[in-house]
Amino acid sequence: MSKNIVSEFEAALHHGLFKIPRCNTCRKIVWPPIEFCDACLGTVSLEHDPQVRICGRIIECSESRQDFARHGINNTAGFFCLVEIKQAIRIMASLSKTAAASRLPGPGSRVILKSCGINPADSSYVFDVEMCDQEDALDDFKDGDDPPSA
Amino acid sequence: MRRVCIAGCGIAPFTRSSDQSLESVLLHSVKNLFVDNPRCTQKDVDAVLVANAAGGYNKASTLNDGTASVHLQGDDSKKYGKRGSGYMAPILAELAGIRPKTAHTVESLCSSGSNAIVSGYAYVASGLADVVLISGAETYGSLGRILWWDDSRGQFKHPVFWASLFTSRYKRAHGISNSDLAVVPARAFANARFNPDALSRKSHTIQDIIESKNITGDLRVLDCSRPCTGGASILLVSDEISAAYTDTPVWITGIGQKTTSAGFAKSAGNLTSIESTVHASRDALHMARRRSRSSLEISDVDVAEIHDAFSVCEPMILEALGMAQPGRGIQISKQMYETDDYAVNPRGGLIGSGHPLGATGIAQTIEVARQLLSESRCRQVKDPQAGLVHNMSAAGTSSTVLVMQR
Repeated sequence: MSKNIVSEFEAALHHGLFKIPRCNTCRKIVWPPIEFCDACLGTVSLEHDPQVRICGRIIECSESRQDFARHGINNTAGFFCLVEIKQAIRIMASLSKTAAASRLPGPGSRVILKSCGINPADSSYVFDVEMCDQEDALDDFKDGDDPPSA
Repeated sequence: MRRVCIAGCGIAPFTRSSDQSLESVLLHSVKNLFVDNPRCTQKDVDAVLVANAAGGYNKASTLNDGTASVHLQGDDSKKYGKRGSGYMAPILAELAGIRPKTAHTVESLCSSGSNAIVSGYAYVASGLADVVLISGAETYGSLGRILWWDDSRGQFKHPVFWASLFTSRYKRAHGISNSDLAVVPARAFANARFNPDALSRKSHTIQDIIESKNITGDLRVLDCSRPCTGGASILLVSDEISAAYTDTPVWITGIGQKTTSAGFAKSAGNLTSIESTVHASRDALHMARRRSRSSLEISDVDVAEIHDAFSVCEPMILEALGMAQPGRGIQISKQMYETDDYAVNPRGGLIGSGHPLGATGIAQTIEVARQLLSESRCRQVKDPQAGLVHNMSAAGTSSTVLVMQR
């Protein structure tokens, strides 16, 4: 019987850790996390290196203009964006206005996963990203994180 | 394969009513179908298919605080009692006095209706059934509005968020403004005035739309289709017996379907095209050419109902169907708005008519059938020969396209 990867992923997420699900056989990143690889059906394990930050690029973003608190969404005054991580994982994340104060986010903007968790109100995953400056990002973007074509 | 035609239809008007049960709405549209076609009786029906985006597990009313809750858990099930139930197709069959060979529910979120039609088509075309009743409905506050499975969306699971991202990208890629996009809802609301079953009968100017409440930086409230209560039923029969039921059959000649993923983020690509619709349209036209032994092209389609869940969807779908070049869909919308052209979404689309998820694909099909029979009165397209229905789910992760001909 294989491990319950989803439970393991969510347990880590609950503690603010974003683990990368990867196939043990073909090494493909499998997203969303599930027990078997969608390419080769190999078993999947979770990877986490506390020394490595989770970086990504914005595919597209927009701005909240309404109080979504009653829908259980915490970020009611900020941006929300589709972010691609390692050219394999795509998540929708919030980006606070203060975190983006120096420049507006847009397609291709580099971001770092600032925090993650699970919303106790409805069990939704919660992802918060922040803009990262160019110098800061150089090391983390060597791993094939090319900007998406517009 | 046998040919399949539409031999009857009925609508339960789209409303904001929150005190009707799902089975009541379904039954209402079935009753109207039998009134529409008295040549068909309950004993003729071989199969009953119900389309519902929540798989039958709808609640019929809002919570006590007036909000449309999306959860039905724990004690809620006691509060709503039998108003939400599975096994809805056999329930409808019993309530309508039908004892079919088979009765089951089809769930595929917003395109449950067209998926049920495709399933019904397959029953008839294969010979498993001669007469199939397809009935779709939703009640206000349905659980089917949101794909809870899609955790990649994080907290942003409501459809307004994917629609905002599509809108942002479409405007950016093609240099289009909010004012340009406002022609879509302006035309939808104008067309819906002539649709007696529509949720909205009020027209809105472009200025009204631009000044309507901003939900996000890229979406205003009048850019959005609204959930509602409503039902639609359709009767499919085989060519071998169609003469017994109708003198004016409308044939389903082409079907195309494509599912690219379930999650929005995986299918989204660069957010510039709805890939599932591109494939579904191509396959539907290919099948129609083979079935009707014609050279039918997308330019031969005289009337179409397309899934304008949000303003940006209309131009993107026109482009994905091949009715417009990339980035030119909004020009087609604008031209139709300025010339009162009803060729696309004559009943008001989802924005004007309302979007009772399980009923939508069936109501779209009914509109195109009535157009082909020149029964659409004030919103009638002149002498249409070929029509098209486009219905999609979950940010365009799946699409169904039907081609219909007289």
